Amino acid sequence: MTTGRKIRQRAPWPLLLLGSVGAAVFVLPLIGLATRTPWSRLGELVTSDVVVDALKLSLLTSVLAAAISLVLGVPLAWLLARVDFPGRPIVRAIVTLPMVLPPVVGGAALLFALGRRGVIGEPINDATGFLLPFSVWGVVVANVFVAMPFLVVTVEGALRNVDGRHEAAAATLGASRLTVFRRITLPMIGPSVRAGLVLAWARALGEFGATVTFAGNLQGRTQTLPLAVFVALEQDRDTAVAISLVLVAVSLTVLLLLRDRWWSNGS
Amino acid sequence: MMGLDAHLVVQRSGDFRLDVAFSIAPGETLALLGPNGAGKSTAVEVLAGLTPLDHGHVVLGGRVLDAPADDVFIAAEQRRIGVVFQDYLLFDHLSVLDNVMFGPLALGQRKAQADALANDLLERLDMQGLSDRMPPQLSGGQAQRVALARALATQPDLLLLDEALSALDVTTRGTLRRVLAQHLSDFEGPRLLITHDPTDAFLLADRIAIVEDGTLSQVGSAEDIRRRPATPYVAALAGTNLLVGTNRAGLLTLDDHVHDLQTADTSIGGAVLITIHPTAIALHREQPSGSPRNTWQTRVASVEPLGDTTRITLGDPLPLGVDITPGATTALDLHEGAAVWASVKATEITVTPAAANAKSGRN
Repeated sequence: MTTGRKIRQRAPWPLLLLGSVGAAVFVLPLIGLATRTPWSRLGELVTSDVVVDALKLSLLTSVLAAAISLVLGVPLAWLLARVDFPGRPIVRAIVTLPMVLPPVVGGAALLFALGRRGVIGEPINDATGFLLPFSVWGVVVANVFVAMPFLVVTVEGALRNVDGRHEAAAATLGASRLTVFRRITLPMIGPSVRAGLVLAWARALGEFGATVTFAGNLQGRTQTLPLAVFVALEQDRDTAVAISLVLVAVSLTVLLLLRDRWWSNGS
Repeated sequence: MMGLDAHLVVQRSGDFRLDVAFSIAPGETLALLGPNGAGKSTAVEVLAGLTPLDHGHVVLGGRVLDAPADDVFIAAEQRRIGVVFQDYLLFDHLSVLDNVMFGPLALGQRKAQADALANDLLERLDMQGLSDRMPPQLSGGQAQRVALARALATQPDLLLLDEALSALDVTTRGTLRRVLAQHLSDFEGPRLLITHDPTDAFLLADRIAIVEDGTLSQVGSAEDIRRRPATPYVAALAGTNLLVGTNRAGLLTLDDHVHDLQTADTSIGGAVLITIHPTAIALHREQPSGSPRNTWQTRVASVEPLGDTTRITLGDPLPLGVDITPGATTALDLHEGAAVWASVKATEITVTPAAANAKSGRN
C-alpha cells in the first residue's frame, strides 16, 4: 500500500454510464449558470445593497435556524428513539411532514398558528405587541420548520443504532439517564449530530416557500438570498445570476470544508 | 446478613426460565459456572438492575433492590453494584483516567476527589502510566484492569464479574487471573464471578454454583464438586485436570507424581497450579512424534461414556482425565488396562501461581 502501486480496476460500464449521467444532472446547471454570468460586472453586482443585505440575512437566519434545530431537535430525536409514548408513530410522521410538504403550505400553516390572527399569534400579539411574521424571527421560524426534520431524522437513526450496553454500563456506575445521555450517548452519536446539523443548515440556507409565505419579502428584514434571486429574475437577470453564484459559492465552500472534517467517520 | 441474598426468577418468552437462589457473604467469592445459554447473562442483567425480576428478590447489604411481590425496584444507577462486563464496555471517547473517574463524578463526588481516587486505583493496578491513553489503544489485559478500576471506583457493595477473562488469549489469562485473584481478595464485599470456564471458577472462587438450563444443579466448594458431581455436565467440568508443581523456565516438576511436563508459559516461576483441559490431551496406539517430555506411555484406568464424549481416565504416571469422541474410543480400541500413548502440547498446559490464589490470599 505504501509503495505507491495501485491496482487499477475498470468500473463496470453500466455503473459508469448511469453514474455519469447522474453526476451530469448536477454539473450541467452549474455550467449553465457560469455561461450566463456577466463576469466583468460581477464585482459590482454582488456588492450592491440588495445582495449584501440578503447575504447577511441568509447567513444569520440559517445559522440561527441550525442552532435552534440542534437544541430542540436532538432531545426530540431522543424522545422518538427511546421513549415508548402513546402516539409516537403519529408524532414521528408529523415531525417529518415538512420534508414532503410543499414549503408554501408550511408557511401558510405557520401563519394560521403564529400570525396576527393565529391561534397562538393573536394572544401573544395582544399581550406583548410582538408579531412574528414579517420579522427576522419569522424567517428563522420558517427555516426551523423546514430544516429541523433533517436533523431529527439523522439523529434518531443514529440513536437507534447505538449499542445500548455502553449506556447500561454507565448506569451501573451510578449515572442518571441525563448524565448517560450527555456524557455517553451524545459523544457516541457525535458524527451523526454534526451531519444532521449541516443538512439542516443547508436546507435553511436554500429555504424559499415557507419564508416568503410566513415572513414576506422585505429587503434588509426578511429578504434572504433565494428570495432576492426570485425578485431579481423578473427585473434584472444579471443580478439574479450574480446572487445565484454567491449562493453556490457559499454552499459549496461550507460543504467542502465540512465534509472531510465532519462527515467522514460518521454517517 | 450484610452480603448478597438473591432468588432470581425470570420467565423469558419461549420455554426459558431462570430460577436460581444463592447468597454470598462479604469477602466471599461465588462463581456462577455454566455453559452458554444456561441463564448466566440473564442473572447479570437482573442483579445489575438492567432487567426486572418476575419473582424472587435481590437483597444486598440488607437493602432490598428488587422484590416484585412488594413492588420494589431500585434502578441500576442506585444499586451500587460494580460490574466488569464481558467485553469491558470502556467508553472509547474518554481517556483511561476519565473512564475510572466516570462513576465517582456521576455519584456527585468533587472532581479533585474523584481524580485522586481514580489515580490511586490505577496505581494499585499498575496502570498509572496509561491514564492518558484512549481505550482503543489498550491491550486486552490493560482494558480488563481499567474496567476493574472503573467498577471499584464507585466503591460498590457487590463486585460482579461477567466472563471477565474470556476475551483474553490463553497466555494473558494466566497472568490476569493472578491480578484478579489479588484484587478480588482486596475487595471486602461479596464478589460474584460469572463464567463458563471451570478453571476460572476452581482457581478464583471459594464456592461454585453450577447453573444448567436456568436452575442450579449443584452448589459447593471445588472439592465437593470434584468428589461428588451431581450431573454429567458437572462430572465433565470436574474432570478439568488440576496438578500442583513447580515451574522452572517451562519445566514443570509435579509434587505428587513422578513425571515432568513442559509448558510454553515461562512467565510464572516457582510454585504453580497446573491445569490441563481434558480435551487437550491426545491418545495414540503408537508412539507419536513430538516433545518426549509431553508424550508418555500409560494404561487406561477407566472408560466412562458421557453421551457425546467418552471420559478416559489414565493410570500412572499421571492420573489425568481425557475426553475423546466415542468414535475415537472404538477406533483406538480403548478399554480398561489397554496400553496407550498420551500427548499434550506445551501451549495447552496452563500455569497459575499457587501462592496468589484467591483462597490462600483470604486466609
